[in-house]
Amino acid sequence: MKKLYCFKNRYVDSVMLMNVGEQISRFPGVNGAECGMGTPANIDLLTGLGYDVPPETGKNDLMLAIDADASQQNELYRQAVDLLDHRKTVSDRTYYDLNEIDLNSDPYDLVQISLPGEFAADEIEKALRMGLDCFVFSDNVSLEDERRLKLLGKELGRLVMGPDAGVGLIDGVALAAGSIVKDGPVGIIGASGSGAQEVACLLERMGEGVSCIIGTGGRDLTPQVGGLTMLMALERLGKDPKTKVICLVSKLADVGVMEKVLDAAEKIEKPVAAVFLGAPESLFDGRKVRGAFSLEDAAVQTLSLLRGEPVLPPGRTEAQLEELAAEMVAKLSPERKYFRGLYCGGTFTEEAMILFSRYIPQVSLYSNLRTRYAAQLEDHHVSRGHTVLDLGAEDFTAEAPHPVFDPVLRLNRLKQELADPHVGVVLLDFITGPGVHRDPVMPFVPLIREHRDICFIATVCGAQGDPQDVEEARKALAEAGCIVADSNAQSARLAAHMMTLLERRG
Amino acid sequence: MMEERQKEKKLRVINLGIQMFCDALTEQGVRCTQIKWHPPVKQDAEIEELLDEFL
Repeated sequence: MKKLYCFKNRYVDSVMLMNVGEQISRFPGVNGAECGMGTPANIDLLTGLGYDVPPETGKNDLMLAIDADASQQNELYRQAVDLLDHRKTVSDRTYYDLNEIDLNSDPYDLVQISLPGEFAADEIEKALRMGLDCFVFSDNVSLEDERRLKLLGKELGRLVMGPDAGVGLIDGVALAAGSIVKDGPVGIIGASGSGAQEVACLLERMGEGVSCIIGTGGRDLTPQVGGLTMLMALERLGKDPKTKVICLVSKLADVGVMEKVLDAAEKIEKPVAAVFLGAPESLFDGRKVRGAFSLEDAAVQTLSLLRGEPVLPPGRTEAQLEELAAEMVAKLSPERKYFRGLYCGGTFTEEAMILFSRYIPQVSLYSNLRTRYAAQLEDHHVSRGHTVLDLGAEDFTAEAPHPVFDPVLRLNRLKQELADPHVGVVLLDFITGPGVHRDPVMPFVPLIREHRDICFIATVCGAQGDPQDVEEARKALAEAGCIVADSNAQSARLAAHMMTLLERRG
Repeated sequence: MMEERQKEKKLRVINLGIQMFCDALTEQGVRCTQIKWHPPVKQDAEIEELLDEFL
């Protein structure tokens, strides 16, 4: 029996909705369960599945659809309502709006915002006017609002981290999709979430820790925003006694803004390393700031500044990577000549493409991204030749939850790629942390184990303090036959060596 | 990093949006309060005009 329950004007975030649907589906005897807001797409989906959706249902209404025996419906409904009402908070007070909070009697330091973008700007402004820093995970905030709010933050001496900041670490506390990296002397300011996370986790693997990770959001270094958050964060870390070295992490940005940030970094009396992925080496000519050209290099340069001596990255040397590439290619049958990168970290995707274009410029790449490093796929659902996908990009997340929160999207795409007899190499990145999927790796292990005729290369970007066991995850991947690289850059370089050999083989 | 605070104090966070992020903070021992947020109700322009007249 298919039954639909409608809750008028009830907002629940998309991750919670997904969890409720998933948990109800797992009850014995349930044929299916869905939970979603009444958007036209969700109404179409449920109607298509045979549910009777009341015509007055709107986007602010919550729909719970359960396909189970009639005798079970009441109990399942009760279970779903319990899940939806679940609120694990320490505070004994209930608030419906930021303005209800009196910081004198109930003090806070930070507001974390992950509401739909159209509603985020008003809440950021309220938080700043209350005198609080903001960490904004929400995307789709207009560029005009971003500039206006960051200027307001500057005036009030408050940081706006984001919008679209995926990773943060403040006072040892991981925000949003960040990792719990051990405490230490490196302050990271990142316009790229997964990039900052990779640098922090590599530093931890090399024995150091971080004082904080300040996410600025990917558009902070655009000419319109002018690096407002990165500049303020630099000033703060310049004064922070715990921070001894600073590392700036970004994708390639506006030249004028990058120069402005580097100028400001040079005025700070602490060593600074910086990576702007894809930037020319000449950007750092005559600069005191140490330039890096991959995320791994950024970790290495930062550590070298801190220790005052040259440092080597963890993992395999270039010669070992080349040797491993030859060994793996020799095992591949001749028709298996293409590789597929199935990434969930946006910066990992871009870093891989930058390294491919540097190491193997002769090889044509395809991607769902609009980028100068690859031709754009006509249909992002269908790979061709050597394809590198950012499965966390909007083309995919408009259709399914982001792969760091739910592995289903990437698992399905992996199955699709594995059905292609020409696929020889698959690259995967895994990200851990308290705010992401609790077991990102294990769902992939059986598939990897079943396909010994394909070469899998993976990285696990995570910290020892994360609730997932990072070492156990690496071990499980290796035992299934996957090559576990020590950084995204090493994974890409290994793939590049393999591609060179595959191209030569024809 | 929060320069005004003693370093031994834990961060205190207000969360607006994804509940899982609040749970992740609570699990880290952070005092986190989830706001029971609802989208602002949009008034019909006609109703708003009528209300303006009345009030």
